[in-house]
Amino acid sequence: MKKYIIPENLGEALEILEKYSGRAKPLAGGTDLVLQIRDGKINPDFLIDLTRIRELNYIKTQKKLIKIGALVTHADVVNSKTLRIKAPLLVEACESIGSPQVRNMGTIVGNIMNASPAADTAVALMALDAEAIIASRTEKRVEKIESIFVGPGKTSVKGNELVIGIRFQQIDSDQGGGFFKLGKRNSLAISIVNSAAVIKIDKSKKIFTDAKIAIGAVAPTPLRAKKAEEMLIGSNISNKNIENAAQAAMKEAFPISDIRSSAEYRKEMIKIAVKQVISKALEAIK
Amino acid sequence: MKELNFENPTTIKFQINGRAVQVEVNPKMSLLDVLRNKLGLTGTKRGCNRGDCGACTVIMNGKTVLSCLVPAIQANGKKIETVEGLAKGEKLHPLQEAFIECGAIQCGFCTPGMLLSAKALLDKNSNPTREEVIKAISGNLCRCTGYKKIIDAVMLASQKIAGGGKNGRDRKKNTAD
Amino acid sequence: MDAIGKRIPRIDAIQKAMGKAIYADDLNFGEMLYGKVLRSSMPHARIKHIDTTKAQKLKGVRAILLAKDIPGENRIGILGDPFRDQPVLAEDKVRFVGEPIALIAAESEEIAEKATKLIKVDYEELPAVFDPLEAMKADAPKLHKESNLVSSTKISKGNVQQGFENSDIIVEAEYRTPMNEHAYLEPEAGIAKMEGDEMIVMICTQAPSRCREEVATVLGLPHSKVRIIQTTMGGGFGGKHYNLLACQLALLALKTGKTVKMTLTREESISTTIKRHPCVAKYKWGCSKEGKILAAQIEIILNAGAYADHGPAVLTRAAVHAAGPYEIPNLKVDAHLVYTNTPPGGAMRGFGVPSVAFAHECHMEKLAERLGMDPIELRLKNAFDVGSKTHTGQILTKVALKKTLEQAKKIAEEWRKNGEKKESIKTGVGIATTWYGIGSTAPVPNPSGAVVEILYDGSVILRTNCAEVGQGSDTVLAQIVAEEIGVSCDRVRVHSKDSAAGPWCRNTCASAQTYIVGEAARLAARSAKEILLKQAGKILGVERNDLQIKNGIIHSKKDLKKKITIQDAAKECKKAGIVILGCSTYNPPLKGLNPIDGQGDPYAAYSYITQVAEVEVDTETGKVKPKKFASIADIGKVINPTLAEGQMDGGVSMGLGHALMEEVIINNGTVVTPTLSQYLIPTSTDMPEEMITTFLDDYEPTGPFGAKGLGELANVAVVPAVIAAIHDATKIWIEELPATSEKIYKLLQKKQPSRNEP
Repeated sequence: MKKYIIPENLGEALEILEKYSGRAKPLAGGTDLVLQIRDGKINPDFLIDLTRIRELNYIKTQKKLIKIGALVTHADVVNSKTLRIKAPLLVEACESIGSPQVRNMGTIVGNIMNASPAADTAVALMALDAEAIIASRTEKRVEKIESIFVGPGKTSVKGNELVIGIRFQQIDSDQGGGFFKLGKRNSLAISIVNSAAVIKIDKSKKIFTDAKIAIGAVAPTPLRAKKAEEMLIGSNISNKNIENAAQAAMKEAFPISDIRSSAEYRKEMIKIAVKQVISKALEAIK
Repeated sequence: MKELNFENPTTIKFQINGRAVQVEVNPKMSLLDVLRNKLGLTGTKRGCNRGDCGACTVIMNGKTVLSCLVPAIQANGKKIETVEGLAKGEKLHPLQEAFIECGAIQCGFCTPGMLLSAKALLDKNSNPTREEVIKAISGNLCRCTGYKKIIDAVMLASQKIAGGGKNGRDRKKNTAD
Repeated sequence: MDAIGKRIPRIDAIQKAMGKAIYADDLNFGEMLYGKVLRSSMPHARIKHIDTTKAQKLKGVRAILLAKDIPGENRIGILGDPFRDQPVLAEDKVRFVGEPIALIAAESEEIAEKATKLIKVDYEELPAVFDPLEAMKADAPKLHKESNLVSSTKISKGNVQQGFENSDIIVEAEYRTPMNEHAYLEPEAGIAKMEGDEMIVMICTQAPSRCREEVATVLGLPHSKVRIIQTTMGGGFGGKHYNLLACQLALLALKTGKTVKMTLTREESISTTIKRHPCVAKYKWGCSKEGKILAAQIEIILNAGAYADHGPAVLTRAAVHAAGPYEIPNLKVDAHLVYTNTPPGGAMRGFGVPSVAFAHECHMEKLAERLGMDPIELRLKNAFDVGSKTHTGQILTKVALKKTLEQAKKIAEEWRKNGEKKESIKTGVGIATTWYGIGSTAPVPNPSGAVVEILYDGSVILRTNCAEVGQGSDTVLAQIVAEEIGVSCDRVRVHSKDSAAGPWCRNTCASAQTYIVGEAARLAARSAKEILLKQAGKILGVERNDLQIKNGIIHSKKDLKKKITIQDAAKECKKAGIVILGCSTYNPPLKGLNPIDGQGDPYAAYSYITQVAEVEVDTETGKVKPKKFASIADIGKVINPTLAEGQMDGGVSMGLGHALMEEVIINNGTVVTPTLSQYLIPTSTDMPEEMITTFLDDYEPTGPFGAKGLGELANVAVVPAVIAAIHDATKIWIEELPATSEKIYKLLQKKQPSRNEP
């Protein structure tokens, strides 16, 4: 490691990233990055400390669009009155992470960039159909969170780019969100399986009009259970249909066995997880 | 924009327990290294050096953090509170009194981290429920006490504080936001 | 009583609360060298060659030591010969991943760490064995000599075959418990330096007297020239009996002539230091249809790991406790300790009993179910009582076990009244009971010495070498001495941390410091008191028998006007040229055990406990949520209720961890759970919302002021109480720990149980 760089504003940060593209790692809370460097898993030449860039620290609403800056921590999300009302799903996901200290330090963008297949914010953001706002020195673009994940620990964000925030539409009155996490203990636990869903219904016709279901820790990346979604959309709101969708979701995953769980158990739990997030999402609408 | 060489020392300035300090650090160092090795404040403990145990918990700008994971450089310009700053001379903080009274200390290794997690809670919410206390210390592992007397102590401390201790206000619930 | 039974705040509480207590890693002596260990990457291999040339050349490296550089004996083993089988540094071969091969001292930790990577070791890989059942086979790879069997313990009485023939019901099952980690919050650390011709080691040890012996032996010094200073300890739970680090530090300090410090990383602590022995236990029990247990046949296999350490003693205790606190006329216990290429097993809270208590209590539940009998009734029918003969033929004279069961019954009945909530969430209540022998198992002796001096201002010093690991022994000893003499607790100073100051003391283990060291301290205090009273008698012109001490005043029982303060009496002693010194030792009387049938009196006293657990099982995921926990214990007179309650709470949390989440996982000899995010212990959010503790406070005549012991009793029955509760909720039997949600889910899938199904 050669240099520890502290830009004062976003412009400086993007300049440096351009200059050292591919050799630099942005650092915010550091709860994952510091450990990876210490363990020798990564060895960037340059660390770019983003924590002085105030313009990255925001939770904004523009009509129904919610924007969250890259320096917003899990604790900030949990403590935000706005998000508790407009995106309770994300609040629940952030609240399930680690511990109070980890939540004070870690950012949701950091959680995404770490790209663990088990990232708890990832499934919530994917269910919210969130997008990452990505900037480089010369351009700004937007990419769906789900396509950002390309593999365990790998994202599509280029070496000269920085995710400066995320954005998503707030949950409407005909929508509800649900989150599920199964861990080996109740705090400081990496998910065995996690899941999130945002469901939209037509109350009068009693059918699902939209469904976004994400599952995590069951594949190389968190993923949207698209077949389960398709099955649900347009169908009547019934336990049977929810069960079928959950069953379908099982087939979309490729879990592995590790010290936390066997692949078979993970697979079985996908069904339970998806069933529960859909049910919770329905409860939230009432 | 600052560019610091990893091999070279750099000076950081911050407040520790109300006192301004200036310390020479290497960018590889963690805040925990600075506290223990540079400032001789060994009250904050190293239990795992990976952020898994909470023994290194300190309060930084009002929030609890795992000092073993905080790069020392990020402490620059911040206000840090450690266990050494809780008592005023020989006068113990109500939390410390309560921990002693309730038998919440056995081996004592988790105690500094616990005290600070509890303090951060009481500073924001002076009348917490038992559930809120349990959650506030959920990132601090303890192997000796089973947590029960620690929770009892924090509840007792909140009563002490409300009853006319340092923050002798009335017992209104202050949640964040 | 003035001090006994009082909630005296612990002596070191203020220092700990202020962050001023000095733990081993807090020590700083200015210019120091830092030690690191080069460890084996192979589970079983011959060492062909070690090349240290590159490491030697690294700037800042001051010493590199190999086995050949050890001046004394390259052997440690807490039990001593014939079980002293571990080299401090590997000689011709390595037997587990993580075994120390070389020691480095350097000017910084970073340099020492770099140096370990520059040492080249040429191994000749040998076939390894990780399963003790495999290791018992004739063709298994051998770790030490011709057999991997370390030791065996046999206990027998009556005729089990006859017993089974007479039985109406026979239940057989196999129970498995995994390797567990102590997970004390403080990783091992220490400092060593040579002062003149004395080697001083400051270290977190729970066996300071024994540590002195081991360090002296390794260095080739007389024991009197080694001084062990115990630092404030961040927990032990048995793990800090391992004197390896102390020896390593002393070697480096001796070689370099400098002060050397070494702190283990958490990964080293979890992967390479002593662990709880994994256990496989086969149980076959028979009982009559009235519920009388008639026969018990038990086979226990403990996985010793690569070295014996405390293993043989763990085995013996496990064997003695294996059949539970029940009167069983026909019994056969065969227990074996077997080497494998895994980290060595050693002392860990419960010392073998958690594994067998899990087994015997689950077995009782199975018997109760087969009989259609209430599980507590079954236990009451068979439980030890006054006059009972144990499995080793010992007659019990004081047993409050049945009282604990009766109280537990009331609590269990009250809790059972709660209904179920969601369809998929089932509630269950379970109980478990066990006994725990206080003190090291016979024939291992337990002597401890104590010196009490009443100073000339009437304040008192107690000198012991009793390791305070966080359990509160210093405070309890002060209370005992204060009570015996008749002074207030705050006038008593306990010096326990220096092997130069205190006489030989037993290791802090076997829940016996109050019972044994407490008694030695009490006797020493009494001796000192007698000297004081004799002088006071002379001054007051009163017979010794007429005198008593109350609230710091010595007075005649017949004439209250004849009195003198302790201070003044002490001053009189000074004038008369008397040193008010009391000195005593205590070693509880034990007998046996007979090597053929295990008969004897293994302990001088036993504590008893029944615990009740209420849990919720989410049948969709298998996840268990502990809701309530109650402990009813007979530990004799409780010296300090606050400390005792704290021990119980901590024991329950450790037991819950064992029951639901704790497991050291090893793949081909490598520990793959070396961090606290992989080896999981309960957080505050994993504990039951309600925890109750009751002590029967039943006076034990052989204990100081009636006390027995608690430290491990608190932990050993927790697992089976939880497992019984899970069974009550779901009808599934757990026979292998930990009861993870995955295990429970799989068992639930095999059958669709309901609460009322037989």
